Amino acid sequence: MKATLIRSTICIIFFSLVSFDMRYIPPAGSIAIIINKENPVSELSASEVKLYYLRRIKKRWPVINKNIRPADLKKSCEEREAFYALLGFSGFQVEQYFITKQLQNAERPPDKFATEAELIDFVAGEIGAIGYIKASSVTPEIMERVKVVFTR
Amino acid sequence: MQPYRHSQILRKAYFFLALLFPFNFLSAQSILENTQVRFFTDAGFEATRDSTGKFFPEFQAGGIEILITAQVTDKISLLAEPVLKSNGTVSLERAMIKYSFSHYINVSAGRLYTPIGLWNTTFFRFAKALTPTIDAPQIIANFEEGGLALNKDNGIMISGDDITKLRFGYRAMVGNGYNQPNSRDKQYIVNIFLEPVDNLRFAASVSSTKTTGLFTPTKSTLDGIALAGMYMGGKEIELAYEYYVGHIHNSVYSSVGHVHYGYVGYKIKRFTPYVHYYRGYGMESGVFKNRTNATLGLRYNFTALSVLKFEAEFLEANDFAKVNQFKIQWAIGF
Repeated sequence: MKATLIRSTICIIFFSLVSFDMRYIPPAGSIAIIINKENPVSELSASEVKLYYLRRIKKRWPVINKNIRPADLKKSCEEREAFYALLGFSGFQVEQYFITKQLQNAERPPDKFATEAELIDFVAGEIGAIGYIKASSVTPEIMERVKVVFTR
Repeated sequence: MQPYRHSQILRKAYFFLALLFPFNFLSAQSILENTQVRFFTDAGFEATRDSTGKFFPEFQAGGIEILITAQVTDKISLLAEPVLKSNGTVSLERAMIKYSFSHYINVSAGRLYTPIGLWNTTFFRFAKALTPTIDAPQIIANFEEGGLALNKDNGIMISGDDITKLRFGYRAMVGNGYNQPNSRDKQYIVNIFLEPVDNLRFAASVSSTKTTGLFTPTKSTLDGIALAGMYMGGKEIELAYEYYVGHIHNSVYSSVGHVHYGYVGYKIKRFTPYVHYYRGYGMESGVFKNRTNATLGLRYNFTALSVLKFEAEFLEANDFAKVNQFKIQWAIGF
């Protein structure tokens, strides 16, 4: 009787675990950095993401020699705040930084999009683009259109 | 700089349109899609007490600057910066076409800021929402604001940025200088700089120009050296220091002038209290003479492009003794 009870308990725990969705669910606010599929860059570190997005040391992508085109979301949201934290800037500082670049060197400011879907469309269509989306939004369909080079 | 007459404005506009001519093959729509327009303006109040104790309050209205930038192709960008001034005139602050061969070689042509020191190419004359102080240091202010050096010029410039890990950069410019357009004499400026860590930059520049008629009837040579260090854009502290030495010589006289100025600010959330000090001395027949001003200021950023600045300035110059000023400026951009 006791052995049956133990066996039953083990079975319940086992089936509970198996039936539980074991897929990785990224913590809220985690982001994925995406670039165009045709860009040969395969991976970026956090500091490289900052340098490329801010066009700080590199204004053009290596190998393809195309202008880096940062993409941003228009409205404040969890992923935008997480991305700005990765850059080490507040929203206020990001805006000031790019306007100053525009005034100094006629540099194009980031293209801004109302939704993540629009941002993904832009990155998929623009070879020099770099942007960010929620890590939880990365699906096999998205991976077919853009390349994820960093996640946090 | 004198306000532009209408014919001059038209000539500048035709020049800028001529620059655009090679891009006629691009559709107007693609250019429009890649064009950004921004506006900057400011308004303020200034109360001055001169050495006799008289008090002069005055309202100020800055011009409306229209900043137009366009990424015409992957390698070509344009910038135009017309300013509608409060006195009813229009001036063209800058007009630039830039071709980027690579990250290290860019060619810009048109009306450009001269690459003297760091302040002149980092901050702007009319987009005051992005300048740390109400007025630019006198030596690089616009002529109508008492400026001394040529802060912008028509010419061509080769530039490169972020070379090697020390982030070397260079600017080499040939411009008309103080000369009339039909003069063969030109102004040459070379500026090299480095940014060993984020936001910390050091620069050295040399300039040389020959001019006739500006200082004496004979031909004069103007040579200048500028050394600059700047830490701006960091989280809390802001620092800037520049030193200029200028030498004018001709068959009648030879005179030397020096200018130092420093700026220290400390960001506390949206507030930035700051101190600005300026000292110029030397030169005689090439004018210049002595001027010292110290400014205590406070800047408050409502947003990235809406700024309120308060300044108390103590000014002492050889030609109008001691003056105290209190200034308020609200500058916005959108």
